[in-house]
Amino acid sequence: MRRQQIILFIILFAISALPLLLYERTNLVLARDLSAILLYPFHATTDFVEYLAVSNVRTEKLEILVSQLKLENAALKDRLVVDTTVLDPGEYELIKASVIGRDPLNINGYLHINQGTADGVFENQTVITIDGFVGKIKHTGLFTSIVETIENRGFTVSAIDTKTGIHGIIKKHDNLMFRYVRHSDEVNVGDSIQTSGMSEIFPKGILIGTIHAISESEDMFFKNVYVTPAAQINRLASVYIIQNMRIPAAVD
Amino acid sequence: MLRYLFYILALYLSLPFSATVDIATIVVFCVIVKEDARFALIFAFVTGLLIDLYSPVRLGVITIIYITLAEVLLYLRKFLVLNPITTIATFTVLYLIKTAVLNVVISAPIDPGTMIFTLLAFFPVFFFLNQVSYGTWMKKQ
Repeated sequence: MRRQQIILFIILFAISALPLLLYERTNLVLARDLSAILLYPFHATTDFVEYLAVSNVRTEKLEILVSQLKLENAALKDRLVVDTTVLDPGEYELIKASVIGRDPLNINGYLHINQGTADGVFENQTVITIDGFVGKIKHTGLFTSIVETIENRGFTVSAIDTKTGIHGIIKKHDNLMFRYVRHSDEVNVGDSIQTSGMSEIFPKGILIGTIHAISESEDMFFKNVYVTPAAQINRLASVYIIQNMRIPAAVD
Repeated sequence: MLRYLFYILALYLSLPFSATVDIATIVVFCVIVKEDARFALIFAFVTGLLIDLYSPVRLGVITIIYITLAEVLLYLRKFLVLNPITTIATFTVLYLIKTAVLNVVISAPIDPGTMIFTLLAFFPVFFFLNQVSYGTWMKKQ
C-alpha cells in the first residue's frame, strides 16, 4: 500500500515536472490549451456571468433611452396635434406677421403687427401661433394692424373641452376662465380646451389652453374653471393670421 | 464515489475565490486527512494543476508543491490525533509553508488578508465537508 503510494507520487511528480522542462512559451501554450479543456465549465460560467453583467448594463441604458424617446415622442405628438389642427395648410391660408409693438397700458392685451389691409388683413380675422390661439384682429391700418389677444380683459371665444365635449365660453377676467360649465358637468384638470367653431370669427379646433384648476363658486349653476393659455402672449415675436376661414354652415 | 465528485465540485466552485479565501487548500487538506491516500494524492495533483491553469505562471510548479505537501501530510497523518486544536495547527503550518514556498519559487505575493480569511474559513469549510461527506461534524480516524 505504502509502496503504491510512493510510486503514484513519483509518477505524479514526474508528470508535474515535465512541463517545466519545456520552453517557457511552449509551457504557456500548453497551459492555455489544457485550461480550455479542464476549466471549460468555469470559463463558460464566467463568460455567462460577464455576458449577463454586460446585458444588464445595456438593458439599463436601453431603458433610459426608451424613457427619453417616450418623452420625446409625447412632446412630438403634442406638437403634431397643434400643427395639424392649427396650421393645416390644406385648410387655411396663413399670413405671417411680426409683432412690432405692444400697448404699454395693456401689454398682453393688444399686439401691434406689421401686416395691414394692403397684405390682406381685415378685422376679426383669427390670429394664432404654433402653440395655439392668440386672438383676433381688432383694428387694421394699411400696413399694420392691432391684435386683441385672449389675455385682454373681456375677450371671449366659444370653446369646447376636447376630452368631455363640454361647451362653454373662454373669457378673460382676472384669470382666463372656461365659463358656463355647470356643477354637474365633468371637466378635469389637464383637459385641453379648443375653439368650438360656433362662431362667425373663429374656426374650430384651435388649441386655446389647458385646465389648470377647478373650484366651486357661489354661483348657483356654474363652477369656476381656470385655463392656462397655450400661447405665451408675453413671449410672442411672430403670429399667423388665418386669411380664408370658411364661415360655418349655420352662418351660410 | 459521490464523495469524490463532491470534492471535485467543491474544488471547482472554490477556484474563483482563491485570491480572497484559499478554500481549495482547505478542501485538499480535508481530503488528505480523511480519504484514501491514492485519491488524496491524485486530488492534490488535480488541485495544483487547476490552480496552475487558472492563474498560469509556469505550468507544473504549483502542482509539484501541492503533491509534495500532500505526500508529506499523508506521511504525518498517522501520527496526528484528530481534534480541533491539532487540526487547525496542522493546517496553519501546512498553509504557511505553502504560501512561503510559492512566494520563494514564483514570487506569489503574501496577502495577510487572504491568510486571515482562509484560517477563519477553515473550520466552517472543514465541518461542512465532514457533514456532507460523513454526516458528522468531525470524523474520527
